[in-house]
Amino acid sequence: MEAFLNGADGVAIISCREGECNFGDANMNTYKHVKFLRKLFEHIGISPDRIQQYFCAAAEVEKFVASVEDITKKVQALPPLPKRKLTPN
Amino acid sequence: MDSEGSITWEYLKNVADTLNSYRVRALIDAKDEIINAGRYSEDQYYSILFKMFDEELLKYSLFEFLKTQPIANIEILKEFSQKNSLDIKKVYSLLELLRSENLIKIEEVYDEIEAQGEETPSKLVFRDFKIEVYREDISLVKSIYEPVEIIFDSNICSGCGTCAGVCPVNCLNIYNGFGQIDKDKCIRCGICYYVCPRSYLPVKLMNMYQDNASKIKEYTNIGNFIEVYSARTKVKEISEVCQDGGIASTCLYYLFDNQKIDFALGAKMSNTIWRPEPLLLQNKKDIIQTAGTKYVNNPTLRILNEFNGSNHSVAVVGVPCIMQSLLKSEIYNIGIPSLNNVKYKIGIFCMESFSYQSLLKICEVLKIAINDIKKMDINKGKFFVYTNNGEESSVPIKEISHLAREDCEVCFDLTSESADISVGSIGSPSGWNTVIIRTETGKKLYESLIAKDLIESKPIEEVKPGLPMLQKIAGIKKNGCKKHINEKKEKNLRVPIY
Ligand code: SF4
Ligand code: SF4
Ligand code: SF4
Repeated sequence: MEAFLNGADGVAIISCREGECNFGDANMNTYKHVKFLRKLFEHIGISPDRIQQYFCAAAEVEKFVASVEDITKKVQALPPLPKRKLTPN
Repeated sequence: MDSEGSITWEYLKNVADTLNSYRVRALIDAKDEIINAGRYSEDQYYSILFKMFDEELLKYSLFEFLKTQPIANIEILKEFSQKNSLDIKKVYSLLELLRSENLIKIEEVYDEIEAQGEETPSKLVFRDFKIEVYREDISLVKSIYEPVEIIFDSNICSGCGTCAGVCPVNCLNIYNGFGQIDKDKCIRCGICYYVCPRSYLPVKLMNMYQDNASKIKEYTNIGNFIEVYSARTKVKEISEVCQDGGIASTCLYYLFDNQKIDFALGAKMSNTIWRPEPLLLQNKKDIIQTAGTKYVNNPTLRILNEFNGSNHSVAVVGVPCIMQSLLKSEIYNIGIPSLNNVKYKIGIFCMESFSYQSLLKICEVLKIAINDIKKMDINKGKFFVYTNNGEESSVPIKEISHLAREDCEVCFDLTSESADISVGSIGSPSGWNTVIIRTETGKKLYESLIAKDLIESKPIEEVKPGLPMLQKIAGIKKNGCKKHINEKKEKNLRVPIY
């Protein structure tokens, strides 16, 4: 959410593949949270496409690039989200 | 919110704050535990979670709105209610939550109206709220939502059973006034604390919700009401077994007979005589099992989860604390399916309740074996016991009231002020019930009983001792409660936030 508040229109979370996480199962825990956030976005009227998780191994450069392209395409199709109004100080 | 276009940055900020809400997080993180516990389906889980989310979001929106105001008072609350198309009562309920959570302080401002001679003494009239808002980072405020263990360990638990009936991982048990928690299973979601009538209870707001009185506009010792009657049943099966007028049972009889309800919740004796247990009534034949006053505390709402399933229409018969819990859950609705099924709240009068152990002690005083008791009754300041072979003994209430549950000392409500219709014996002659009609639902129900010729009914003014007696005894309970709460406060003990 922090990213959205700071002006992002979409967030991609790119993590290692299932079972390959260097930090135990942090990737799968995140997956649960992302799944929830997508449901929540739908509930409050924000497109769930604005948040996605992609799984790819460190060596899979093409997949990484494809992921980034995928979310960029999806988010570009959506109008920008409101940004914080700059306060003069 | 219907489209992305109407979303503001402030809205996103409130969403982020809500996601940090401790209670919402606990539910998100414990999804697997909740589904595995088997009490709520995945769909129900999400609907509770999103309902809770929406409520929290509204609460934080009000909080942020108040923060932007130089002076926060009723005008500001009205502005918020208009802006968000919310009922003003809803806004008050959010305000009460913020107060209970220590995020705001509310001071009530009164005008003094000077005395106009002997007859009309000076009085204070409410003018406005002065709301003071906590301005630091809200994550620094300690969350009040703890497992209700702190309620029953502080001896202020009413024993209603609501917490055990709604806990998403089924780790609470309440039995005859005592509570137990399985700490290893608890996910610390605070739902139990949220529904408990002894954590915080928005009494003023509840009176506002109950304020349908057509005749009497002022809140009295017996709460807000529309009309009061003295009545007794004409249904033979009920009059043969009932304690007084049998009106609570007759309500259920009518509701089952006319397909108004699918189930009802009440109390029956367990296999241990005089130790009651909750009963799920499925048809009018079950009513007979619930007849008679129990005196030992019964956690009726513990079995709420038994009708989590689909949409049902349910009536609950219970003591005042049970009615309070149901009304609180109507005001702070977080989409618990079983609570949303409750359509009729039939309250009974309750002065105090006993633990099963104290009842055994009373039997000792009276030198009667508990298994020989056929009926118990409180009347004219005495506790009466009738045995199976027709003997009668009694003891003045004063001599046994120290045996009543300490937890009941903080209870202010004699007449089920939060019910749709309240039934008891005080105020009416023996064999009759005093019936207080409080809401439109209660009124319609009572009118149907008369229309179907199921009861005999007279205005309370026609019977003795009548309303003055009821008002007096209700006042005694209220004063006792005040006294005990002050004593507890002086000793720095936990008290319910009313
Ligand atoms: S005991 Fe209370 S806090 Fe713990 S899981 Fe049950 S409802 Fe939640
Ligand atoms: S008062 Fe009711 S909800 Fe609160 S702890 Fe006791 S049984 Fe549970
Ligand atoms: S005295 Fe109050 S808390 Fe105790 S059982 Fe009766 S209604 Fe409930």
